Amino acid sequence: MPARGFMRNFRPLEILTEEQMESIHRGSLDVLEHTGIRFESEKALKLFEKNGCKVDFENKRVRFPPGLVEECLRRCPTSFHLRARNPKNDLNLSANNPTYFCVFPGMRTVDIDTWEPRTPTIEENHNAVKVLDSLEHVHLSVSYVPYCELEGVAPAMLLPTSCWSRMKYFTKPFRVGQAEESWLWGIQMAQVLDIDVFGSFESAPPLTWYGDAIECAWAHAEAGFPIEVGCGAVLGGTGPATFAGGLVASNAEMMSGIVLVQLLRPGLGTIANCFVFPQNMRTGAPGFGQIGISLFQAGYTQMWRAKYGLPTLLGACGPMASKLPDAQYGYEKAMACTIGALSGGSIINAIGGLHGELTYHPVVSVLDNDMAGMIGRFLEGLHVNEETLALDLIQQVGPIPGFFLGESHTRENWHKEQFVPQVFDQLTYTEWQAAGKKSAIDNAKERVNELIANYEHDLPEDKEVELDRILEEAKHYYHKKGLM
Amino acid sequence: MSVFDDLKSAVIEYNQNKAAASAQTIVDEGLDPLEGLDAISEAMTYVGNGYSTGTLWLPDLVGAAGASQAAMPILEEEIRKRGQQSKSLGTIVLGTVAGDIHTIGKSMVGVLLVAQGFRVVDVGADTPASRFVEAVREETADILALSALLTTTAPQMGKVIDALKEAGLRDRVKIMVGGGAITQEFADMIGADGYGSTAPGAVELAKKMLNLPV
Repeated sequence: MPARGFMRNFRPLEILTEEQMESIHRGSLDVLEHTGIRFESEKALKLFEKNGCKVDFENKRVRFPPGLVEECLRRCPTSFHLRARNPKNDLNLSANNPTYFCVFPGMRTVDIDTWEPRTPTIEENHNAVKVLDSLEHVHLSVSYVPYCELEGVAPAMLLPTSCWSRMKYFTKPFRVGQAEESWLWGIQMAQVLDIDVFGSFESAPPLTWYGDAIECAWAHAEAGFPIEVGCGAVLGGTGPATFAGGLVASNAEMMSGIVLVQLLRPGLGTIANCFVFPQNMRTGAPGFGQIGISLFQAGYTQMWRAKYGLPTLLGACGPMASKLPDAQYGYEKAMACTIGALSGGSIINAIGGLHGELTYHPVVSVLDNDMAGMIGRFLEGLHVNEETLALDLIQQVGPIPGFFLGESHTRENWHKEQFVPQVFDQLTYTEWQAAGKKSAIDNAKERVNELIANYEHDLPEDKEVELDRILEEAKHYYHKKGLM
Repeated sequence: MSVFDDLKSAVIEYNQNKAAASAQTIVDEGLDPLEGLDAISEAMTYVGNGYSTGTLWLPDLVGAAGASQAAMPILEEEIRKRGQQSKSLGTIVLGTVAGDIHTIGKSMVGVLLVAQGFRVVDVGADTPASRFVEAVREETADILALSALLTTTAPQMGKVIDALKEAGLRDRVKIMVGGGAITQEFADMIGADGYGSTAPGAVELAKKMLNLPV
């Protein structure tokens, strides 16, 4: 039985008219047919040429006939299943329902008192993964979670080590990364555990796919694992400053990647990932936390859900501009994730990361878990039926001194209606003072320690040995390549 | 399962009819009503502990209190007929003052007190001073617990204390006060013996007032 996720019980937010969507769609097809997309891969270029595309091998530019693009979009399944190590954590990814919440990384951890970043240890990585595995509203993760820098680990081994840690301690689905051939090890490890992973296939905007991304997609397609096709323009830098133009260019990149995937393996499960940010015009960095992200993602989600029928991953929801979990952090993350969910996003990339993808802390993942629960409760909507209308009860209780608290209807229904957070402070003022004036962060610190202490590791020893062997093999491989 | 187990489970299931029926069965079959009170106390302790540890909630507390209050009068009547004495830590008269209809805080305190083994006589909300005096006299109360949520009704607490003085009962009962509008300063001003800011705090205060281990 897969993870239920949250079932949106009302029409999603739609901010584009049919005409606007069609304009953007026609624009993307025009870019694909006339501007073309650069693919840094000889075998990909040959595959495109064989299937009717115009290929300029010298400039590695591919121009796509609209018919092929639309055919390949139609081949993408509207929903598909991902098998996790624990079957209760399997996912049914769909263009519509349910909505799941995803973890995203930080390069480094932070000191929870000073918020200074530092490189984490492998043990800290394992513990952070254990916390994620235990959080009820965390359903999956991307590929370098939670940390992309680990003490004592050579750069080439960072992704394989991160993957290995999740294979051991994360019983929910996750993505395998595309950098430095890390998929070689991720796919093998997934096959040892007989689980599904999904491959990263992320473009290099504008309008370019590099070799490592193509190889990663190719390997996953051959292995039969779904692929997450992702766009990541910084608008005003690597994409147009206008959001509509950004959608045209980003969707064109996405469609070209999807054509490759569907030519390699027709009908392969495909996720549409949006990692687009407006550019911060002061610093040049991606504009984390901006409301423009939500505008872009709302339009993106509407097109990929309603027009193209693919499950979506709203990657840009999570990374914030704030460096610590303060009021700015709360506003930025809650707004982006709520709008993303209301727009009908299949996967909301929300949990654990702080500033950009540069810092992460398990305390933040516990806070975000409560936020995810709140959003999820909203998605489930208002239920109107004979029981919830409570007409007989209202009649029976009547005016004052009538009171609903002691009624069995209250006991049976309040849990279904209200969301009760784990760590957000909900005490009365005097109780809060008496309890030591603890903040949500204080409560989250305690919960992190509880989750780590209570984690039950259930991976069979023979599988652990195999995973360790594959990691060793990776070390030899990169050593031979001169990367270690 | 014995009828005492039935009574205990009735309280834990918040089933007033079953609780009353079990209590009546205890009386009809000539069984010990004091054992019935013990069963209720065990059930209330279970529910009270669940509330304190966060596994049970207000509706559960009030539901259990409702079921126990359906059974207790039946058992207490039988105890009186037999000339027995119920084993409680003390008798507490509890109510919300005149003009104030708020009951949640009072009910929470009442439920936790019963869970700890006190005998609680809840005189309800919007209770005039005269009723409090009458209840203190009739029940031979050890403690009078007054609740008010509003700043406009809080002064009624002072009137209750004055009424007890006039009735010559002030020295026979300890008075604790609590509620959203109440502070330690207010409690001192009106001459109350103690102030509880939380429901568990009120239980602790009740024990201290009667020199019981906390």
